[in-house]
Amino acid sequence: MWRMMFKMLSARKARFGWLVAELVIVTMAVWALLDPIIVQNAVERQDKGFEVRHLYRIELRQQPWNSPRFVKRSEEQWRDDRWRLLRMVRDYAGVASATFESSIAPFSQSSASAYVNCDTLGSTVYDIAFVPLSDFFTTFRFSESGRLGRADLDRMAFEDGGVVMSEGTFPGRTTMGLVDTLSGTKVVATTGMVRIRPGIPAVPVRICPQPNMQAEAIVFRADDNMDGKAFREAFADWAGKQLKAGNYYAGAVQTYSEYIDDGNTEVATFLQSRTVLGAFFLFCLFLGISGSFWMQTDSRREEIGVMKSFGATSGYIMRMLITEGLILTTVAVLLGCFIYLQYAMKAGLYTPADAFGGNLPGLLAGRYWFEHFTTHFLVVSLATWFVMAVVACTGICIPARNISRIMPTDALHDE
Amino acid sequence: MMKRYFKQTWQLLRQNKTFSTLYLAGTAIPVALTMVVVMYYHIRISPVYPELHRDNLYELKSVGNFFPNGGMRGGACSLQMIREWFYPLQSAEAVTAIYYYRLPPYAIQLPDGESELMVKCQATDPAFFKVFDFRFVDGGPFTETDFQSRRCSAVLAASTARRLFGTEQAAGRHFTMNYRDYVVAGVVRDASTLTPLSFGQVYQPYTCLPDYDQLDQQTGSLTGPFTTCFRTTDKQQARRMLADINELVRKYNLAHAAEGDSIELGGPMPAWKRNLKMGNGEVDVQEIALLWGGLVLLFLLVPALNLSGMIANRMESRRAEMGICKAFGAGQGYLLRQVIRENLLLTLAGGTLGLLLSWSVLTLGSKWVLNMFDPYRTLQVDGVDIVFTPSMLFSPRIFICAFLFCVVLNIVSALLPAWRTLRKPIVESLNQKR
Repeated sequence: MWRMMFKMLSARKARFGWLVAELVIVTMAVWALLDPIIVQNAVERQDKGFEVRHLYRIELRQQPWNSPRFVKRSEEQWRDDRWRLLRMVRDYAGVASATFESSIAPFSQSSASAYVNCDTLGSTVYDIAFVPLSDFFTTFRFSESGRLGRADLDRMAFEDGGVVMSEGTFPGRTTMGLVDTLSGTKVVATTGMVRIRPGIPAVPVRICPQPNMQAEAIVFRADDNMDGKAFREAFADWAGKQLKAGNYYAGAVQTYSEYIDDGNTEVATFLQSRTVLGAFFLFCLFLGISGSFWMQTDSRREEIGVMKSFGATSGYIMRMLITEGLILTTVAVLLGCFIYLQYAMKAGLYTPADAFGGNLPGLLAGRYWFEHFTTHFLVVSLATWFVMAVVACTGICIPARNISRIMPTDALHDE
Repeated sequence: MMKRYFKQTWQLLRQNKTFSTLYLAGTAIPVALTMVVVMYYHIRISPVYPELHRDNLYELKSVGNFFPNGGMRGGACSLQMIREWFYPLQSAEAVTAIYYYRLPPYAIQLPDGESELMVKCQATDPAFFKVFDFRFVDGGPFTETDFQSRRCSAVLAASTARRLFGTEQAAGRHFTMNYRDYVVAGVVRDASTLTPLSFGQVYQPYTCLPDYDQLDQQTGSLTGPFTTCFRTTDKQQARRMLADINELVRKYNLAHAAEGDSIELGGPMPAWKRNLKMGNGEVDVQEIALLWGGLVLLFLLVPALNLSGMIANRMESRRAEMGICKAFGAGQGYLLRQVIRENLLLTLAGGTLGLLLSWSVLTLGSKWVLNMFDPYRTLQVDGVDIVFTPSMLFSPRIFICAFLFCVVLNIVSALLPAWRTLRKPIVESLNQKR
């Protein structure tokens, strides 16, 4: 069968020439579009470093200074008002724990990175601020690393300026106990890597205590056995009416997943636009392959008739035609990938830094598969071949079924 | 004769329904995709309400102040620059300043005392309504007196007036916004969020902003928070205006040469050019044209290859027919034109379908489409529907683009396969049927 197929493909190279040219161009376009989709999807599926399930966020709003409801408060009174709100949330039935969230927190609008230097080692970390003794680690459920658990960290007052840092900040060396010579802070506990911004993978973080920080929101964790929808509706209703202290009042109540999605619009749009373009090229390919094989229904009637009169079944004919299409696709994909490789060796392959910025190479330090050229190229090439093969097979199926049902007597009668 | 062509094409369509369906689909989808891109840029650069004179509209929102120590302060225009340089300009028909930086959220307190309506508020001056072509349905713009005396007078968009008062005839009525009492000077027909420079639900004098005269980044600095828009009558006046502004910059730099201070303006730039790229950086039209031109070429090339393959296969089956025509004296040129014409009619049919599809995609999936062109959502406002005015979707430029695309697609896809088939000698063509 294989020899016959190669002979037939060779005999029809003029007719299939257009199709192969289209396959090569579509391969390159699909490769370029699939690369960021695969990498970003791999990033989005990563463990965030904290548990998002049953985690909620209440935005803290303040009365405008010219509002009739505004009351003059001192700094201490502002702080007391915040703590009062936190206690009210903790006392609500179904809330397991609650804490403050600052402007630099996982997936917040702002982020801050810093360079840390310990002995001869240097690395970049993202900063997260928290208020000590406010159940920060228990509420977020950061992944535990080292001998101190979340509850232990929440009991620590952090008065001597210690920080919590990600294990693996310095590859090959434990982070526990290191002193940052630049800021003078000591690592008193470790956690795992955390996803801090939309679009970028988990990175090393430094969680710094800030007792007097301005809270942008209160984040709380509901009991694991709560019915999410009912709980959230009841809580939002209560918060809108009751959760007030001083000039603070409750804003939107959302799940932390929704909060992350709100900030993820750039990533979502980025992936959407590439998916649409990829779908367009694949649709054109589908039409092209379908069209080519449909057009051959008439011209290959006698050939199919002869094959059937020698005992070939419809299934055999279909498999033969689909295999022809797969061979064409594989040859074109190999050619297309080879051409794209020349471009990729100069321009490089996609990394999250391309779209979402930041000093990512320093932060990621070769931790992930997409940072290694060969692995990255092979993974995306394989995915490209798979997608192209599926589209090609789908495009060939129906015309192949049509051709394979030709009666040998009808086909030979025409001849 | 046209009737004969249509009849022939219709017969061809009916003869081979599979080919026709694939051909129409293969033309409609790329045309739809291309027309979505064309229409987006048409909305961004062509005259649409209320920027009906976009061709004569200029915008300046980038000013750089350079210091002798190598430092630089960047921003938009300061009040000092607007008052001393731009308001007195004789070579512009009208000049307006719009507060450009992010205003705090504006909320209109509703009569029930509890609820609020969040609105997009533009802080500007009375010349705003001379620069842009707003249509007043009631009242008029706030006056120069209101502006100078810092009177809280505002112009409402018609939809906002309907929400607040139940009617568009709201001139003279009062409302509370951010706990301040405003009087409605006039009501205008709604602008679309797709024209962010002129879109607003409430327009107020910038002199109503608290501490408005201290909004500049630094006293005496020429950088501040205002974007300035200029309207000219024609290109000649525009050239004079640009020359006058360059002269002002030159004089300033000369006067401050001893201190080492200098300024550079990133404009005024034509508003259509400013709209090609978000932000206030330099706009490289060539780069944008290359990027989108390249994409459109790809949208053209891949389907053209598709159609070429299908036409090549079809021409093979029509070789005998072509042979007979040649035997009766038809020249190669005549047959080539016939094939191109048949395919052009099919392409135009597919193109029409594609245009209808693109309108549907834009109107029914506007948010999704805009998200792709505008990832930072500068063309969308929470709680406001995206409005497409008829001039945005139906315009001679759009129809011409669609037609040209179809013609190019047709020629690229049909010419080569048809020419190759028609080259074959008559005898060989007739022998095919034997």
